[in-house]
Amino acid sequence: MSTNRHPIEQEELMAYLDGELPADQATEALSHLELCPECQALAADFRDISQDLMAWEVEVPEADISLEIKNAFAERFQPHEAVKVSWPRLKNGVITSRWLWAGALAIICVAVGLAFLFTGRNRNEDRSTTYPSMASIEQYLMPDRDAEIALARSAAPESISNDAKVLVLEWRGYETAVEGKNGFVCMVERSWMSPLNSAQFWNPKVRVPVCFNPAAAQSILPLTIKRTEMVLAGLSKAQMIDSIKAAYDNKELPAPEPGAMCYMMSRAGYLNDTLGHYVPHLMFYFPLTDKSSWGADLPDSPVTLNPQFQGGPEPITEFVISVGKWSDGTVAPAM
Amino acid sequence: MRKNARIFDSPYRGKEKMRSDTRVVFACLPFAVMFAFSTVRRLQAQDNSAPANMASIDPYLMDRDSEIAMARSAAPQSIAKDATVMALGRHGYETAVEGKNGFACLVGRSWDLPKNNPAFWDPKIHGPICLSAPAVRSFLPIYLKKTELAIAGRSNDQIEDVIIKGIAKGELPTPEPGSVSYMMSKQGYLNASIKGPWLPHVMFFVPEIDPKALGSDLGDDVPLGAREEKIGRYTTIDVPVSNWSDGTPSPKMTGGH
Repeated sequence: MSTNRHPIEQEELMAYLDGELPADQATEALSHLELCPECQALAADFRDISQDLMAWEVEVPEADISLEIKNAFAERFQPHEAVKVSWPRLKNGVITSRWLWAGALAIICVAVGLAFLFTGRNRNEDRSTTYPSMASIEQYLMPDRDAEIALARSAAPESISNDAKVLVLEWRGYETAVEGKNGFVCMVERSWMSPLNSAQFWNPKVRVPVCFNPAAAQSILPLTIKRTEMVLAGLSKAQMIDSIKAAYDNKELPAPEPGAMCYMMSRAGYLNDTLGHYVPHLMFYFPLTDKSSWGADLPDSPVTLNPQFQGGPEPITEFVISVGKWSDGTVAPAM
Repeated sequence: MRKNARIFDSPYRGKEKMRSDTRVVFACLPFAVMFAFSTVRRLQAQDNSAPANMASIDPYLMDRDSEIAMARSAAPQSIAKDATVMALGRHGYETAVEGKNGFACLVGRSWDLPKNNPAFWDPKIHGPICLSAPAVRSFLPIYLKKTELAIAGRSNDQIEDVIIKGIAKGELPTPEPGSVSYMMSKQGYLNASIKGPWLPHVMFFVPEIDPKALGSDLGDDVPLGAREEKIGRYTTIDVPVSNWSDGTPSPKMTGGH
């Protein structure tokens, strides 16, 4: 791939597919990938190779090979006296079995190496090929409306969520299931609120209960609604990126209001295949902010940067502070 | 002491029947944030026994190395080690250590409390805090101004008046986005009622917003506290965290509050 025609190198494309690119590069790669058939084909090839490698297993050797290897093994480690006794066999074909043995060892080494490689690469993100595209909408919906309401409310302590508005996801988007009176809005976000380059973007198992405070309901919730609308309309990620950028440019989507934050304290949530329930936490939204100015992600710092919008089209920085208890008052495990 | 407890319970939580452990935590929150410019402004009681101004700077001064260490203890080492450290001298705060990460750590003194607080001139008060760069620009000047006025012998009323007018005239700043502070020291002494450092917490500052709109004061189960700082025209948000700056767990947090 020439950099004259493509903004990303093959290595970067592979890194992108493995979720290893920094967010800004990933967004660039994604944008290009959506529009470049050549790169799409290449990405498909990479995915196939990757899948083949992941699926590949060392076959159980056939019985006669086992015997040959066994013999070779026995010869290799026999006392010298015994070697002398068996030496004539070498001339009768054991050399071949030794080659087989060496070959098998090489294959095992390569397989183990690849396994480590891919395990390491995917420690923080599942395979990008696990959820390559949107599942059917049914898989994202919760058939039990009351269960979704309860899950949404579980994002915050009862003193907040009892009086909050509750939204639930329906076929055509989020709808108000319960009117609120304290300005907070609780809902269950789906996977498409993940970073746009996340391997979990289409994971239908994701359920993220969240309660936005009034400032976030005004300035962050519209983004959730918009992303959901775009997903249900079948837009590609590149189209979503363009649309979000345009929406911020023309003020259709607002900047985070001062004090915009949310509660995410549900023990019943499922953030993704890696994080599971995660830990109860609060999130605070700001216009783009350098994380170093907060001391976020430094060793022992209680503040972390949420990568949700990092490098994405949303001009939002999100800081996370974990808290000690789930919304039901039970003590959470240490982070 | 009973009077103190009532004073600081009431404005923060507005509840009489909090669980006792929760009361300990949340009733103390204004003390925890006292240095960091967040405080109770609805205090009504005036302790007439409290002095009107600083008699001498001497009781407030510390051994310089101890003050540097205490200031740095406000934040994890990864932040504090590269921060500017300020120490109180006879004429105000001085830079004791030049930093390079934009943070500034110092030990706050009592005159950042609300003017009616009986501890306003209590020399035992020590509030270690590390401020982010935006907070250094937009909050520290107010505290330094208070310090200057306190050392100059102004009364608590006079100090507050000067701050209010300074902000109104634009001579003193209001909070910048990203203004955050760490108060995670085990060594603090935030008030005689607490007799210690309260809980490790992160505190940040936003333009004036109703604390209830953050969930504060809505119930005992809400894991943050917020307070409007009318004097400074901002709202502080305090989020208790699990560990002290040295990495050890906070018993009250791990055991629940």
